[in-house]
Amino acid sequence: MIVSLRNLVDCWSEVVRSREEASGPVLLFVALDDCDAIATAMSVMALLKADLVRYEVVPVVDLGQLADRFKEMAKPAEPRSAVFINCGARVDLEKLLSLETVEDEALKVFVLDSCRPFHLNNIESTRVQLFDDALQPVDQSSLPLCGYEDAYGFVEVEMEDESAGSDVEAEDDVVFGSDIEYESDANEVDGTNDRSKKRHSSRKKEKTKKRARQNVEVDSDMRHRAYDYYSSCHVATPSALVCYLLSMDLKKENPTLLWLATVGIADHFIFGKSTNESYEESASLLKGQLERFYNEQEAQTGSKQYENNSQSLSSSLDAEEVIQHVDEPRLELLRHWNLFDAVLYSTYMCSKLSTWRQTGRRRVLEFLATLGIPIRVAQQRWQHLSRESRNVLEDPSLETTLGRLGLNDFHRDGFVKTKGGYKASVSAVDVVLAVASTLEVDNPEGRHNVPGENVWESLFWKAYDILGAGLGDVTLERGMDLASRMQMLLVQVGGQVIDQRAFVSSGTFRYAVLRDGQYQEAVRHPLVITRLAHFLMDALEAQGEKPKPFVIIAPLTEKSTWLAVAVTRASTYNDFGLRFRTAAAKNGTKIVDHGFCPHIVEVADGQETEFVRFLHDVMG
Amino acid sequence: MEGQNNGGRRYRSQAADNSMSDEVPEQGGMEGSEVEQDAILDSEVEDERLPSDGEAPDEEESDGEELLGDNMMDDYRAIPNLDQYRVDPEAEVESASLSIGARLGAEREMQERDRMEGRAVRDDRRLPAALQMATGEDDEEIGHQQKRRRILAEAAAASRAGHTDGMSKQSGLADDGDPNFDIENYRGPLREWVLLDRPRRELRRRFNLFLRETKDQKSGSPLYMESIRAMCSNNHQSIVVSYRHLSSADPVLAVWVADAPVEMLSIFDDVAKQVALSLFPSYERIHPDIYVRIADLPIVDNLRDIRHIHLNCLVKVAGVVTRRTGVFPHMKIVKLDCQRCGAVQVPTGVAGARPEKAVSQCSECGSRGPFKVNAEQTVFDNFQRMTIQESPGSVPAGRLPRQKDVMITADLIDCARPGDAVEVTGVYTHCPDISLNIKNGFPVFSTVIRANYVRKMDESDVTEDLTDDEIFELRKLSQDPKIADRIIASMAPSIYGHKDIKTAIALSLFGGQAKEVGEKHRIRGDINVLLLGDPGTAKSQFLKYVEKTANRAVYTTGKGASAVGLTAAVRKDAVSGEWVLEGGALVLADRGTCLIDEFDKMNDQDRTSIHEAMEQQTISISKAGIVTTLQARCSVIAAANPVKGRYDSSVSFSENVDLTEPILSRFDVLCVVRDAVDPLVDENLARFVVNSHSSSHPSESRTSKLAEANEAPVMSETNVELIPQDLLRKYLIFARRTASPRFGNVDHEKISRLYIDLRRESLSSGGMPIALRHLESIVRMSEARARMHLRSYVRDDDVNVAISVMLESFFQSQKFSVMRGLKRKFFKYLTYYRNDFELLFYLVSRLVRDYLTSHGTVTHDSGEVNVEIDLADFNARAREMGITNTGEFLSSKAFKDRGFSVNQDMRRILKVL
Repeated sequence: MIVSLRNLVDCWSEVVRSREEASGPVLLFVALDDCDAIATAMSVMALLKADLVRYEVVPVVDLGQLADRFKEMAKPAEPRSAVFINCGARVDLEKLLSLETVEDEALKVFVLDSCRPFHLNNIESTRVQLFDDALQPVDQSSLPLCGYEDAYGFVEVEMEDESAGSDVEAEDDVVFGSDIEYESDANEVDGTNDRSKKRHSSRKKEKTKKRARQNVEVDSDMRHRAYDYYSSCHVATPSALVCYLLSMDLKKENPTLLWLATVGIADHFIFGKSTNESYEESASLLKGQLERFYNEQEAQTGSKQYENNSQSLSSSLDAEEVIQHVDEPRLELLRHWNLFDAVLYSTYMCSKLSTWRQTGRRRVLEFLATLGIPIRVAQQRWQHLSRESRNVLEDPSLETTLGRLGLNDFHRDGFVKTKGGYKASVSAVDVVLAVASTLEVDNPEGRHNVPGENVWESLFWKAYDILGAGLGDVTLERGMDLASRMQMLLVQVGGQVIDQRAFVSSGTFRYAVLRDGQYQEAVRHPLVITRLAHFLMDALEAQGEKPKPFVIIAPLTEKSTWLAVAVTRASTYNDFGLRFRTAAAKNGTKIVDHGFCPHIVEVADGQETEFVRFLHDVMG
Repeated sequence: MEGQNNGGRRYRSQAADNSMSDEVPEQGGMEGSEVEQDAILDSEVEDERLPSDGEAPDEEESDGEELLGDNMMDDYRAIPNLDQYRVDPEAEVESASLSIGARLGAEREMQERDRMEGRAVRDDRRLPAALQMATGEDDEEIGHQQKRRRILAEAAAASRAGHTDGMSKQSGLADDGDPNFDIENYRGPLREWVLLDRPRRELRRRFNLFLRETKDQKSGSPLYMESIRAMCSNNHQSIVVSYRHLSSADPVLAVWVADAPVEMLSIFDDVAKQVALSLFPSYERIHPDIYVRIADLPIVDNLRDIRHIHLNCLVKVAGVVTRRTGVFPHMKIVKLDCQRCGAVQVPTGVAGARPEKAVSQCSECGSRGPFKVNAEQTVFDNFQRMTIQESPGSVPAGRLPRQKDVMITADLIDCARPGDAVEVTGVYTHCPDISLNIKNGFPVFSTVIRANYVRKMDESDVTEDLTDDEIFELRKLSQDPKIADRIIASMAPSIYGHKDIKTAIALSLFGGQAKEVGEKHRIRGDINVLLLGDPGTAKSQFLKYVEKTANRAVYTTGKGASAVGLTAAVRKDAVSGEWVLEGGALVLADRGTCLIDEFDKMNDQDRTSIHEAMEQQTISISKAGIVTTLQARCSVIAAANPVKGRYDSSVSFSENVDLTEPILSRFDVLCVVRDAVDPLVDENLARFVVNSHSSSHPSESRTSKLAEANEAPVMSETNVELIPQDLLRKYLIFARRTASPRFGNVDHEKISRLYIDLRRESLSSGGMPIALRHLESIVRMSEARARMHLRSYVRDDDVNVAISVMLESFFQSQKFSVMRGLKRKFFKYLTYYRNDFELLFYLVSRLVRDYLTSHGTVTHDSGEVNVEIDLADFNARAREMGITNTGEFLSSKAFKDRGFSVNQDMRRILKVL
């Protein structure tokens, strides 16, 4: 079932309501994929705390783990409900978790996931509640028929043209006839791409739903509709923002939650999940909220001190810390670095000016001269920079001068948490980077070596600490250090790839295979690779190339597999999840989901080049 | 070139001489010298003829200073009947109708013709007056006034001549309302004319145009706009303007800047700043002032030839910096507080010695003082004084060199160090000196040069910034699997043979990886080399080569260096009287190479002083209350002779060398060079030396260099492609900067076994003592070799090379009798490195030697000696060394090149000596 924004409160009461048969904790399954999930988890935890509800956090990394952990926890913990944060919306949860087998019939699963589209089975299921960012409930009749996809939302479609299609269909009928004996296996969760089984299960669904399948034409049409539905893969409003809207409806909003929402939208912005327009929209919404907070506060107390309003939760924001909306220059980690490095290694500047080259470096110097900031001053830490120099960057009249250097929209909306006096300030974007690099790199044992849950849990809490850390906190500083290292690496590797033309432009997309040894160890993580791909896309576009989706294939040494990451512009659907599967089905490559994004998969070692070749065919 | 159009107009001369104006459009800027003479005459005549209000021409002649009268401005009053000029409408139309392209073409053509007709004449004419007059004492008798008049007239004529062609266009370009304004039509001192508003505006306009329009000859890009852009992006404060460009684009500016530099330069600075601000609007925040530096002034004056005529003119002198003071704040604008009312007074100029006397009356309360300098509001500038002396080479025989003070301000500060040869362009000025007055009894001034531009003469440093293209090139070069061999062969290519020394030097130049063990324990990465050998084996040549090639090298000789000279000295500064610390050779060579020649001639005491520097790479001082440690992270390459001048291989190493064990063990590589008699080697060497003498005569070398560039790459004597020296230097810099090889995945066992073996043998044989340091040496050398390949890790073959270098150095230090046995013993370590061919060459040359002494030789009538070696014998010996297939070797080109031939029928190898 889809829960629209209007019904959030009702749904929430269901989450926290204790039932007779189960009054245990609320289980929070949190994807360790992105910063948005962590921020959402933090907001949900705060809301649960306010309701005095017990909860338990379970960080998970992929669907298999999610299912395992769920089954493990469902019974003994006697949970009131389970909340899935940024995971699960696109797969058939009923099947994956085998909800039928869970004894507690009333246990409901609430999914707070920004991944779209929802799995059609989830929409139909009564035990799965999907939080949606739409105001109106989705018109069910407009959705394609359920039943053509497998548990992972994969629809197989024949790519052949119409004339050939009928032959194949006829052939299929024969296969169908022979498959009828396997009905008993129907509810077995089937993760493999075995063709006959899948077809078989889908046929069965059709029968149970009593959909008449009179002729091949209609079926193929339906199938294509389902395919189109699942290929409209995009990312909706950040969960953290949805969570903030929920808290507003519950009248429990406070600056901490607001801050977490800004982190959520910043996450989507940085990782290219949201378009500029949608980012600005959310940012202006939060900006309005911000003004409301601080106006109220002024009105209430007349002093600078912010007092929590009557029903608010205990705010972890220090009273001195103030959130501000600013026009931020697009220089990552500016506040934790020096201006010079921030300019040199900012993905925005870098893609526009190619700063890894000497000409680009010269342009950076010219840029600083245009700003009127001496190089030596620029190389000081940002905190020690003089106020005049800082103001230069925020000067709105700067845009026109920068336009000459080809730096349009140098500023964007941003949120900054500052402390009074000369204390540091931190921006939402930087927090996202710190959390992201902590999630990926800050793991001495290696992410995949130790499957023990302790690793994930400690990782989650580390990220949690960074998110909740006050200014000047050691954990925050450490995260920023990591983030700046990653940022440098990102630009270096990106420059290398472009300079050595290590990517291949083929038809509708570009890809690069980052072979072992050539590129640094650290570029092995999906988040970094995602950013790298976005950076490469931007840089190539700035160099006048046609915008195309980018696929990066990098080795995952710990597992000795290859990681394939596909990114597209946020304005278009990223249907690479489906394409990957189609390609894999064609040549029999073994691919496994990595994390919860459909367009990040693991490819078996030795098959990576094959895989790319077949991807071409699929794209054609 | 555009600038040329903006020069002076010829309206005036048209009015004066109609006949001339007719030929102007055709002849343009290249009238012959006669016409020019005319022009000079014209202008002189005109000067007299032109109306001057109430001032008789002769008066003016006698004393120009009186122009500064009250009615001075009357000179510039409009006089309608005289201010009208007749313009030849035809000429006007004709030149105006020329398109820009056509005009540029014509100009280029004219310039070309000028060059053909005798450029010297033209150049001379263009020279500013002061420079021309600098011929010496002989024209002392010409009166100053007369001279100046002639100069100015000449200058005016020169610039007019250069500008006639574009003059009709002037009226369109001029931005001041009066199209008839002629900037060159002035009387009285140029300096005052320049200060007036109208000419000032005109000059600004012209210089602005010059900066914006001057194009690079080759690329056609706007030259000075680019340099301003570069200046701003690098946060510099000055742009260098070539006088040559200035004089070809706008002679008026060029001549005037030489004659009235102070005023003109301030205009230039102002314009340059304006241009910079137009590009970078906020640049003022970075540097409030921009300076224009004039380079390429055509005439260099001798310091001893500077006379009063040069006063307030732009001069260029060359010399050596002998002394340089610290940096002092220098008042630019002084502000005074009135002690009575507290008002801040701003006097117009900084008054010499006593700024507080600059104001005589307070503008607020009218009190006559006292005033006090307001420390907060006074604007200061940096100032430094430098003394330059004539360079010893340019002093006439038997005279003492003279010196002159140079005042340096702004960003020129610290541009040259004492000892540097420099060329200073600046304004020769005087300032009152009371002590001189008293000494002489009448007013005498001390003189000083206010530097405008300082150029260091020996700017040979490779710019350490490599461009992207170069880096790409170097990376490509590093992919060559034989790069290490090529580098070694390219070391001192003019020296024949000595591969072991070349290897050692190459390793030392590339250097190992310095490491920090634990927190405070540093292990050096630099490789020290000692060349020990007979005289005449090019040891010093190698050192000189390294000095030229290494990124940073300091060269000393044993006798010329003392302990403090090598390490560091504390001495009393003559100027300030304070104790100052001065780094010695090793400190100056930090992160580079220190070269010590004649190492054995050094005092023992002096030598021991560098023990610390060679291993710990620091220099600790505790003298005169200064206790400190200086960094000396340099590699040492030293050359020494054996005890009796010649190495005697029949006695042990320690008897041959007069160096103590502590110092010897600090050298990673010992290269013993023996000047052994070997007919084969001698022949090749002789041929090489004779060839290089015949081919590198200085007059020939230039043409051959050009030819070389087109030819195939140069090959060394062992058929390895040589790397050009420039590229090699860059490669060296790049490798040292980027590659940091890791010593990890290699055969540790082999190294430790070798060490154990070496220790045992060194004890028994009495050669070079082997210490733990040598184990580290092997590691360092393998890292250095990995670095030659720009690799980030050490491979086994690197270690093999390092081992072979180490063993080579060990063998050479042995007694001759022991060496053979040792060689056999350590053979297993050696084979890794040598390729078969070299081994076989070694073998065959040994056989030649043996056969010469023992077996029968065939002596021809011509005195040639034929050596015949039994092929079977050769093959048997080759097998002994582990080489079974010699066929390839015997048919190789290298084999033939060395004068061998094979007679397969007789199974003999033939060699003619």
